[in-house]
Amino acid sequence: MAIKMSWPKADTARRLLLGAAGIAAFIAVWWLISLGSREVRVPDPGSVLSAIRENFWSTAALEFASLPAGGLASNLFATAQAAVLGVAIGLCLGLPIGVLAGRSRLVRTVVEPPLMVLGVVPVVVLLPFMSIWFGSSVLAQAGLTIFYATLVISVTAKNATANALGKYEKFGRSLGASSRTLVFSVVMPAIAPAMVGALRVAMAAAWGFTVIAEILGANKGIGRVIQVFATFQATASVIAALVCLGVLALIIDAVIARVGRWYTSWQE
Amino acid sequence: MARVESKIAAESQLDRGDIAVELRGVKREFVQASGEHVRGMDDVSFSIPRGQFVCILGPSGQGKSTLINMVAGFDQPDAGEVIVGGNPVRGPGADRGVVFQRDTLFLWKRVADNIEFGLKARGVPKAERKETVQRYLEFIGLERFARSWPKELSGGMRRRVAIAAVFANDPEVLLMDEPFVGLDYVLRATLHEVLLDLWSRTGKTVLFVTHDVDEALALGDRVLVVQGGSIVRDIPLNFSRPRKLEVLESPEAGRARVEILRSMGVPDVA
Repeated sequence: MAIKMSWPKADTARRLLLGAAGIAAFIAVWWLISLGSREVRVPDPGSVLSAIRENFWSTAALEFASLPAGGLASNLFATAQAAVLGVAIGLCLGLPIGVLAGRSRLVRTVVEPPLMVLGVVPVVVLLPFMSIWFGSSVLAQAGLTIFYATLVISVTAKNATANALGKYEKFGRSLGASSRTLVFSVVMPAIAPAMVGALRVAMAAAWGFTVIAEILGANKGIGRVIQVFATFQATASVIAALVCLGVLALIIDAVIARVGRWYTSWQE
Repeated sequence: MARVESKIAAESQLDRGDIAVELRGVKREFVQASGEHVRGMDDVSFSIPRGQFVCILGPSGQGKSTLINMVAGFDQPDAGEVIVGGNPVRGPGADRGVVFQRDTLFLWKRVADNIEFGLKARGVPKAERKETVQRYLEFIGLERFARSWPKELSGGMRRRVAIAAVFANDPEVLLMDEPFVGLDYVLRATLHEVLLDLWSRTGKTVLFVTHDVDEALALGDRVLVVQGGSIVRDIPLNFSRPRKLEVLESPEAGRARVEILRSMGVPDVA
């Protein structure tokens, strides 16, 4: 399959420039605020940058403080692992549930009420259960993500499957497709665009849930790093960790979006 | 409107094995949300010999789609039997291919893969599949577009691919539910040509639903006029093929046209 690359054209270049100008303006305002404030409340952009540089590969300066080893980089990796694991498990659970519910009115009637009830639970409230059930294994950090991702993915899959079957089932069956062929050759590709969207939503939430779980009960990960920096009032380092996390989240989202666009390029 | 039981003069002479589609005493009633009962089909019986091109005409909401849905197996009669190829219809299947009004091509499959879909679903071996797909691509004149995506094709080209996909799957009967509605005359004529070409090559039995009398005159061997859930007219069209535009000029065509319009309930303009 030929990959269509879209090279920046005149208006794309203009958009990038304006976007960069927006970020520059934000940093300028931040710098101005930091001038009138103590380092511990609003550190200036410069000290955040040096905090990133100092702590990226190791946090030697604070290693005595039981900070997880390896600096921002390895802790980002640990957080990313837990977040991606949570979404992956959510996909493995949510996709079959959603597709089955989309295919069968009976399954839908049985499954929709619990999904609706679970959907109104504020996810963070489940945190205590995570340490009770999973102790301090990586599943404890991934637990909230698994819950949320399963919900979002199953609901999206359910609706997309019902839509796809409404559109294509009669045609498919009149060509001799079995139920199995319908699910794997018709429903799966048809719901792919919606599922890419659901994955991005689940991933975005995963970062937040993973970091919260780490702040409250982990021995590694960006959340734990932030928590330790906070006890030392190393505000610049806290912001440094958040900036790195944000950049990582953006990169991963962009990758999912790009792969998703390529995979669903048949769309009109 | 007097109901007319369809009797084709030659029917009694036909061998049972030559009947592709048969309806016997089929009834179907729909219950509206208001509780009102609507007769979708009212004691309908007719039979269609193999290879015949039958146009089903009638105003909207009078039973045409119900009839097609019964034969396709998307709906079951409340009474009576629907028999295709000697077997009662129990549900949809590859022996009754359907071309829908809406575009139902699989957008995530290329043109060739769309035409191949039914063959693959039924387990036809690869070499035979590829050969059939290539043949049908040539029939519809889209060999150059074999690897294209449906989104890259015009509406008319997509219709051609849909028709080819259904024909290529070698069904007993082809059901077409107003497949060309809304298209302009020129495009429709092109598609008529493609359809009739495929029909003459394969000798399939076709049930073609339309509300356009001229389309029926251009395509059909026979017209069944449906009104109020019953077949009110069963009119043979004995015009030679290929049907030229001039056929529409002939007195026979004119008479057939008026007869059909009258039986559809079209009033004389006062």
